Amino acid sequence: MSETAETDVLVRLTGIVKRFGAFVANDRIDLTVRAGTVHAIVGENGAGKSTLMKILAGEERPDEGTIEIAGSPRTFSSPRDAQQAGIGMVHQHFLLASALRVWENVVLADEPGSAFRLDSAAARSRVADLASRNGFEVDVDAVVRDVGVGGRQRVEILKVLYRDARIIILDEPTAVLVPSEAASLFAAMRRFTEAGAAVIFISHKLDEVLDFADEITVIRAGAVVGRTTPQESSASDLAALMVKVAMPAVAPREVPPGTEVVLAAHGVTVGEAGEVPALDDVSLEVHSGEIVGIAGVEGNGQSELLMALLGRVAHTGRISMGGEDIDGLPTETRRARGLAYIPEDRHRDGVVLSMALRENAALGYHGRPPVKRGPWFSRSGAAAQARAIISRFDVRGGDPSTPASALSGGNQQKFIVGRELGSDPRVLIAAHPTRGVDIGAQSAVWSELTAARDRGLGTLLISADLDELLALSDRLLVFYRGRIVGALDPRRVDAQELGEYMTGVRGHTTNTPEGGAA
Amino acid sequence: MIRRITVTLAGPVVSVLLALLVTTLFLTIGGYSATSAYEVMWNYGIEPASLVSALNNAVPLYLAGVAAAFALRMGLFNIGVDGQYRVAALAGAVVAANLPLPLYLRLPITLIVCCVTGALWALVPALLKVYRGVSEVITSILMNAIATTVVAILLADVFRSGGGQNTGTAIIGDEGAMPVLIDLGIGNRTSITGFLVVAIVVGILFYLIQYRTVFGFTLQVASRSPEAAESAGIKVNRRIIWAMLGSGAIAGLVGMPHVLSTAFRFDGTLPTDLMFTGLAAALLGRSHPIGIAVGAFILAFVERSSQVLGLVQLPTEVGSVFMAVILLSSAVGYWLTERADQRVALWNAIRRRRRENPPPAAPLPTGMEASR
Repeated sequence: MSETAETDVLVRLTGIVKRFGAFVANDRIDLTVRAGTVHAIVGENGAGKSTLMKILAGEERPDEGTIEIAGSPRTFSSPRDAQQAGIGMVHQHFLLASALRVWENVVLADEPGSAFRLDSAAARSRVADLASRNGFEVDVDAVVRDVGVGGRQRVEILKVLYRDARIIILDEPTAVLVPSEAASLFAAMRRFTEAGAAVIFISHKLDEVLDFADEITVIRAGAVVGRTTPQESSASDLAALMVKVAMPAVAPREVPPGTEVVLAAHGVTVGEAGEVPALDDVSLEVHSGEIVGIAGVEGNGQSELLMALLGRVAHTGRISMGGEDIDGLPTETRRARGLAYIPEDRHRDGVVLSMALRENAALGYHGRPPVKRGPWFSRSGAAAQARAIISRFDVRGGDPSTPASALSGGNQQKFIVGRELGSDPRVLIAAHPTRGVDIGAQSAVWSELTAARDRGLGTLLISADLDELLALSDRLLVFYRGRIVGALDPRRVDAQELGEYMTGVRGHTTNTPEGGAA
Repeated sequence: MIRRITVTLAGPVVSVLLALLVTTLFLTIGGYSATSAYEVMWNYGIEPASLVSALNNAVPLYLAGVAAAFALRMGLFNIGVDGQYRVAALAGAVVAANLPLPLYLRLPITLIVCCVTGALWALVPALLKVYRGVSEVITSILMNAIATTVVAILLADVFRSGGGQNTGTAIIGDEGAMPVLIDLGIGNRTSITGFLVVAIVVGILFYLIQYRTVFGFTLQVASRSPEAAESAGIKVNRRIIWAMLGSGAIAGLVGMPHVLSTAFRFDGTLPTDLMFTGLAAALLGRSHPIGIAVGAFILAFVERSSQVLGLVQLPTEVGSVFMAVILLSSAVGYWLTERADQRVALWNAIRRRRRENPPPAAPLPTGMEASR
C-alpha cells in the first residue's frame, strides 16, 4: 500500500444528525474512512450504526451534517445517487429476487443492452467474469431460490461490485454465515481494499472486528464514543465502550424463589435445515417465583426462543411446563395452561390496533370465562376485563370502547402487561416489557413484575435494556449466536463482563452453563 | 351512537344518489327525459306484483351477498360463489326430486346437501391457499369454470331426465318443492316464496356467528392481525378454512329459490351470475346482515322496475347502468362518508377546544392537534 493510499480520504461524514420524531438516531457523528482500509463500526443494537450507513448509502437523508466523497461534498436524494458516487451497501437482510437467476439479480436495473433488448450473453459473461476475478464460487446460472445463505451474500456483493463501488458497506455480514464462510468473506474484503476500495462493516462481534478491521469506530446511543485500531485496544476495552450501564439499585427480594420448575427447555433448536440454526441446543429452567433474564444483542436467538416456547415454530428438543411436556400442544392449549406472553413488538402481535380495548382484553383469553360463555363472546365480560386492566394498571386515554390505536405506546404496553398478569398465570414470557415506555410506566411495570414474582410467578425476561435485566433478574443467561454462553449472577456481574459475553469475547459455546438445578 | 348509525347509512345513500346522478346524465345525454323515466319506473315498481317480485328476487341476491360477506369478514374474497351455487343447485335438485321422504324431512335434507356441496366446492380454494399460498381469488374463479363443465357433464350424462330436447333434471313434485309462504292473491304471481324465511334465518345465523360468538371474534382477529392471532392461540389457517367453508355453505343456497320455487328442476334457466349483484349488495350493506338486506332489495327493485321502460320506448339498460354505478360508487361512497366523518370529528374537536379556551388564539392548528 502506498503512502498516498493510506492518507487518501474516501468518505468524510461531518456532524451527521438524524432524528426520527423525538428520537435522535445519530447525534453529530463524524466519520472518516480512508481508501485501502477496512473500517469497522461497532455498537449495540439501536446504537445508530445502520441509520448512519443508510445515510451514506442514500437511503435516508440526514437532518444535519455533510457527506464528502473523495473530497467533494455530495447530497444523495436516492440510493441511485450514492451508487453513482461509488457507494454500495450489502444489507443484513438480502434484497434479492428469489425467482431470478444469479446473473439476472446482479444486473437488475443496470442491464447491458438497449432499453428494449437485454443483452443476456454480455450480462451473463460480465457477471461470471466478475465472480471469477474476485474468487467468488457462485454459479451465475443458478436460481437464487436454490442458493445458500453464503452464496446469496456473494450475489449481493457482486451487485455492489458490478456497479463499480469503491466504498462497500456491509451491514452485519457475518450474522448469517458459518465461520468458514465468514473467513472467505474477510479474505474477499481484503482483496477489495488492496485494489484501493474502502470497506465499512457493521458488527457487534468483537473478535472478528479485532481480527479484520484496520480502524474501529464505536457508537453508543447515536454518538461516537471511541475511535481506535485493533493494535491499540482489546476486546474488553471495546465491550466497555459499547455497553454502558448505570448499575441500578436492586431492591432486595423478601420472598425466596421457589424450587418447583415451572418452565424448562432441553436442547431446543430452531432453524431451517442446512442453515446455521437461529437457536442452537438451548436448555434452561425457570422456577416458580423466579425471574430469569436473557441478555444478548438482538438477533442472537431470543425471538426464536420466544416463538418456540409459545408453540409458534417447529423445533427439536423438549419444552415442558410444570413437569409436563408441552411440545405437541398448540399455542391455545399452552396459554390455557397458564402461559402468559408479553410480545417483543406490541403492534405486531400484542394488540390489534383497529380493535377496541374490550376486544383487545380478550385477545389470548377468548377461550375461557368471563369472555367465553358457551359459544358466545361476552362483550360485557370482555369490557369488565378491560375496565379491570385500565383501573389496576392506570392505563390512560381510553375506556373499553376506545380503539387500541388511540392509546399512546406506553399505555398500550401497560394494557398488555395488565392483560397478561391479570390472568394469574403460572409462567410469564416477557420480551422487552418496558420498551418505548416512559419512566413512570416503566417503574409501574417493574413493580407489577416483582409483585407477581413474589406471588410465585415464574418469569423468563428477555430484554435489550441491561438496567432492566440487572434490576429484575434472579439469574442472567447470555445468548450469543443462538446459544447460551454465560450464566451470570446479576448482583455481582459488571457491565464490562456482561458486554464481553454479549459480544462473544468471553464464554465459548462449548461449556454448558445452565445455572439452575440439573 | 346516532353518529355511528348516520355514518353507516350515509354510505349506501351516497352510493344510490351517485348512481341516480349518473343514470340521469346517461338518460339526458341520450335525449330522454330522466324525470319521466323515473316516474314510470317508480309507478311500476310499487305495484304489488312488482314489490313481490322484487322481494322474491332479492332473496337469492341476499344469500349471495351474505355468502360473500362471510368470507369478506375474514379478509377473503370468495369470487367463486357462482360455481358453488351451481354445483349445489344441481345436487339439491337431484335430492329434492328423488329422496323418498315427506316434505318436512326432504326439504331440510335438500338444503343441507346444498350447503355441504357448496362448502366442499369452496374448500378447494381454501386448502390451496393454506397449503400452497395460492390466492383464493384466482382459484375460486377457476373453480367457477370447472363448475360449468362438471355441471354440464353431469346434467348431460347422469341426471338428465328423459331424452330429446329435455335438458333438465327430473321435475320436483310438491313433496320436494319449497312451499309458498303467503299468497297475497292480488292478481297472478303474487306469492312470496318460503325462501324468505330461509334468508332471514341465514341472516340471523350470520349475525350471531360473526358478531356474537368467540368464533366470530377469532375470525376478526385473524383477518386484522394474523400475527396477534397466532400469538393469542388462534390458528389463522384454520380460520381461513372455516371462513371459506361457511361462505361456500351459504353460497350453496343461492340457486335453490330458482330450483325449488320457480323452475322445479335444474335446467338451463338457472341464472348464472347472481354473485356480482350479490357482491354489490354486500358492499352496499357494508357486510352487515341488515345492510345487505336493504342493498339486495334496492337492487332487485331497480332490476324489476327498469323492465317497464321498454314498454314506453325508453332503454331498459337504465337498470344495468344504475346497478353498475352502484357497484363502483359503493366504494366511493364510503370514502366520501369516511372523509366527512373525519371532518366532523375535527370540527367538533376545534369547537370543544374553543369552548375550553375562550380567546380563540390560533384556532385551527390547535384544533387539529386536539383531534389527534
